[in-house]
Amino acid sequence: MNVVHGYTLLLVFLLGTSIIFGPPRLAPDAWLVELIAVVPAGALFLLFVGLAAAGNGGNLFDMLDKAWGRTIGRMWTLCYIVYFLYIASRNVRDMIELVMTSILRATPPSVLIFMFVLVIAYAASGGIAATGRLSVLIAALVGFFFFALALLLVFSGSVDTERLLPFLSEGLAKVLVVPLKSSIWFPYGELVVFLVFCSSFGTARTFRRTGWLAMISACLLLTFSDLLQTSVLGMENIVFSIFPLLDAARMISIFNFITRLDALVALLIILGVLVKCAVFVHAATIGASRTFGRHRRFAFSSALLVGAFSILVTHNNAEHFEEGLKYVIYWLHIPAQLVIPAATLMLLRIRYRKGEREHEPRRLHDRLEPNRTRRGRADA
Amino acid sequence: MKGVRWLWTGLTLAAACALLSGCWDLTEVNRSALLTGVAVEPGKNGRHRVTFEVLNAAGAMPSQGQGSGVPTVLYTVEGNSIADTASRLNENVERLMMPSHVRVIVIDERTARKGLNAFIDLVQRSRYVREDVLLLIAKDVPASDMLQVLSPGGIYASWKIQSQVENFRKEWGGVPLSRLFDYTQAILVEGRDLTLGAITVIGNVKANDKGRSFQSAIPQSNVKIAGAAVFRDDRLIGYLSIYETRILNLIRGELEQTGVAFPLPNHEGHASVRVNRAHTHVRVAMKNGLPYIRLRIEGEGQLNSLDADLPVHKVEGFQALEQALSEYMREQTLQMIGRVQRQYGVDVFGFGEHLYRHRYREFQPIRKEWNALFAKAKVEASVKFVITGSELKNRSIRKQQ
Amino acid sequence: MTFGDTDDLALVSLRFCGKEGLLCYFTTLTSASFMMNYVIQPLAQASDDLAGEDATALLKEVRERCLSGLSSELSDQLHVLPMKLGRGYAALFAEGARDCLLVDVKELVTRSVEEPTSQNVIRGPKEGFTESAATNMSLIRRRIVTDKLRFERYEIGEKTRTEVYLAYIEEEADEEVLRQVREQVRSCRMVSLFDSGSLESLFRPRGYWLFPTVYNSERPDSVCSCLLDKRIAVIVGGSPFVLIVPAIFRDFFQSPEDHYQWFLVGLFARLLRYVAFLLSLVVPSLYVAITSYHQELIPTILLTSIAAQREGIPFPAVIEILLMEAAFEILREAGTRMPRLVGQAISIAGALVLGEAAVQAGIVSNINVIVVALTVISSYVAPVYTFGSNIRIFRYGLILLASFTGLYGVILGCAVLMIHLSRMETFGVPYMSPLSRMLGGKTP
Repeated sequence: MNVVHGYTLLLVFLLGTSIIFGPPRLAPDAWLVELIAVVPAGALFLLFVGLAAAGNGGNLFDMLDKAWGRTIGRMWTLCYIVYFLYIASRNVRDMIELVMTSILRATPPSVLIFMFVLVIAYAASGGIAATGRLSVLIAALVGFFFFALALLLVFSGSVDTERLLPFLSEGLAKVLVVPLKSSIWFPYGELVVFLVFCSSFGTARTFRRTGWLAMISACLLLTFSDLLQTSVLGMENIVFSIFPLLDAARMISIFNFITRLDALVALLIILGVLVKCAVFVHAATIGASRTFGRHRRFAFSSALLVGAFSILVTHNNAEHFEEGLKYVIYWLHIPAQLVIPAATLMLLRIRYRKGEREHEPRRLHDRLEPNRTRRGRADA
Repeated sequence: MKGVRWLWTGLTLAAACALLSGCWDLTEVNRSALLTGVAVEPGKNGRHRVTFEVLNAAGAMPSQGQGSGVPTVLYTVEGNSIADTASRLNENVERLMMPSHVRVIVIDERTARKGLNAFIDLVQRSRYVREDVLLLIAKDVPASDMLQVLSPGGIYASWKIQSQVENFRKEWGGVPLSRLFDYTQAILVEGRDLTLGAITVIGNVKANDKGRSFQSAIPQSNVKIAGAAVFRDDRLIGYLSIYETRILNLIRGELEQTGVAFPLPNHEGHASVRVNRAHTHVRVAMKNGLPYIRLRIEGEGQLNSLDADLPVHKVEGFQALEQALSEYMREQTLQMIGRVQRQYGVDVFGFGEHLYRHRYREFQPIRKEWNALFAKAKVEASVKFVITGSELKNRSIRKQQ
Repeated sequence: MTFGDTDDLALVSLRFCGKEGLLCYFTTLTSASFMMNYVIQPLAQASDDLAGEDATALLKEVRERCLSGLSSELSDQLHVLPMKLGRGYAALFAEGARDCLLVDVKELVTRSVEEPTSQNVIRGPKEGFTESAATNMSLIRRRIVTDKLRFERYEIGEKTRTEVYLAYIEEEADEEVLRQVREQVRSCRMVSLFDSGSLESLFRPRGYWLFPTVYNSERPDSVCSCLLDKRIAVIVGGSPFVLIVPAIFRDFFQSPEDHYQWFLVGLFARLLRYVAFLLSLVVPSLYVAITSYHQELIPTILLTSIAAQREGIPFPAVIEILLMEAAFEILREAGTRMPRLVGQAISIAGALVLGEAAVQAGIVSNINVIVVALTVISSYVAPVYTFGSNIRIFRYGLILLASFTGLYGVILGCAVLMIHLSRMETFGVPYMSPLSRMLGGKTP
């Protein structure tokens, strides 16, 4: 996988669903929240990069084994598999909710999910390089349609920047707190899944650079998307929207002819969720074939699980979003994205700093700080 | 052979799809009909009486369909809510309804006086109804009469009403923006009250019964735009004339173009100017606990008729005209704002919104009593219209003495 | 002899240099005048002083003096004889000699170099490959004057023994790809090979049959530009279509003509082809999906017009589209197989009867005919005919998907296609690498 594939993969992954939903409307000036969130998220990503460096070319599951020992490591691996599958199934649910409200109505969701799951399985079984190439295509499509939407909104005269005011009506403090509460974990924190593929990104340094670049571009795009949505719908109105971008797209009307581009929004989310799910399911299958030790392909079965869970996971919209904003963050995101990786990194540092200095350090050193060695050479 | 196996798998899947699918959401165009207009009136016993305008596609496209006949058919249903009537529509109609192309929702003024929120929710919630569907108030006549007006050439009532309202707004500014989206905005935003377009019918609607309207060059009945309907919250409290509505649009910055006929000084008749651009700068501040509103209206137009022989080939001629026009517009503006302040006491202009957006901290404490404050507000206006040209001729063509 | 009593085997006994000899060849592989002028006459005129004791030495002498202009060889291996005769050699036996002299007397009637029929250009060379591999190689060699151009000869087909040449430019062509191609060709077991088309499946990655991974061309200029582009050409004797591997997605949208024009025109044409490809793929399914599932997406007036047209049409939109598509498929099949004159009659019948009358009779709607016609025309835009033929199947899949889940199905179908494309690799080159060529992807 080359750098561009990696970058677009991360970008599409980050934009996937959040371009439709935007940040949760916990504070006014959501776009500012979006802009700020990238800073702590970037720091969180440094933790992942640290892990990738310490893992020495191995994937997340190797690191867990190495840090915690085989038994506990295997337990964490299982936890991560479940976590990945759960997140994937939530994403599928997001997508189905949108499809059921925007383009279909009476078709049983189970049929739609089954079709979708087949596609996910096909995408996931192709390997990360194929997914990277897929993401280039999808990034092109998503980018094209997103900017088409933006342009059409501007042309139909729906954009009114006055609607962004009043600015900071509830003070800066609230805006600063929200990213820590939610935006950092979603979508940025979900990058933890790429620890499974970090070796495909090259060295830890390229991983960091690619990741940061993708995060910054995603942040800018999301901020732009949020500004767009707010200036079309108004700050007061957007709180009532389940899918703000969808509601914004409904405002498009050019000569009464180009109207109702709901389908484009559905296309955006279907493709975005497809890439996200393919990555999650692929990660889970790697973990599964590692844990269960069989050289079987788990893609199809994992994908079916995702589909089934996406139906079982909640009863309705409200439950789905409330779970997402409250319980998932505290019970899943924070442990899986912060606590376990941090603990693993610490254990790796402690266990391998002294004991195995003889075997490990050179490679570790090279991976960690190629920057310094290069500069040293240049100085000499 | 791998290829053959794939082919069989594909064919089997395709067959399974075709056989097992319920085609749950399938709606064939030739088995359904478009819903194009809705009129809501109060019915018996506090129920709603809803009239649906259903399109007969072949009639509406006489050049393409095999048959022709009337472009639309009206059905009236009574029920407890609009959703109730809409879902029972097939009680009367043989085809499936496609509600996604509703263009106009006409609301009877009796219903509007009781409040709109209760049934607009259905419209806002539905993904089928477009955000740019027009919400109009039927003034003086029952709402369903609006949908009975037919025009030749397959133009049905809701199409006529929509394009009439749109064109009138764009060309002259005599009707406010009145889309569903504008309703939502006005209800949600602080410091602005709702206005919707108002229409009425002149002539005798019943004369349409035998399609006589088509035979005569003089329409037996016609829809006429009556200006704006003013609301307090979601209840109708009164109307503005088309001239007042134009001022309203001017202040809101929504006036695209218009034609102003204004009296010339010394009672020499009238001159008229085609205004192409107009813009209002609004300044709202709180002074001694009362809002102080300053308006700076700027506009630009072309002279297009002149009753008196003013020297418009010279600078002073233009200046005199500009001054007369500006003075006229200033008077109209202040008069109109004064009337709204006195008679309705609701801020339909969005002065409060301006305060809310730009001076949030000042607005926050007086949010609740804004309308009362507005009624007492002091308003100042400075108007400056520029006349940029006099079209083809430099002065009125007549024999020079 | 293994040939039995086939009629075209000529066994001519003749006397030369004082010895009895037997000349043996197939009359169908040479011409009488060629044999007369270049073989029999020199033999007959050969002076008797050549006559030596040793018959083998005599044959050698004859080979050097009388037949030196023809490629020939001495052989004592009788078992190669049938094959050599079949390849157009004449065998000369002399009494008392263990060896026989094999002389290449092949003189075949071949088609001369003509304008290619399947890949026309308005501007550009008008030469096309022929059925003769030798001619084809000469057409290539003429264009690429470099000492690095290589032809490697292989034979495929147990019965047909068809000659197959790999052409490539040494040091340019990727060694790894070359190794794989050689291996494929060597290990190929076929009974017969009459056209390069049958060879295509050799180079196809497993499980990916929807898109061709082998480019074929009738045009020497396009083959040569591919060779210079580090690829490998496969020339099959008896087929005017030369294969080029590895081929990626982009190649199928390029016509050699693009490079002979101002680049912007070429770019525009290429863009148009991509758009046409997309149109031919999704237009019918989008029509079905939108008119029968998502009417709210159509502007009111257009929908009114569609509804008015479909008034009284007995079929649902899907059936309508499938009917017309099937009719056009049949027309297409009939049109390509028929002689040109009859073909015209068919197209008139198709246009009039299917297009006009079906609409008049109220069986299909106008808009449906427009949709199908647009699809069919778009599907012909791809410069390589084979590209469109496989993807056609996918189009029907999309229509079916559209007919039961609307746009959702269409989007998923397109997603499957994209996944398929991005998973595909041919000889280690990602099929979609065109889109990321400048981005450092491995390109052929």
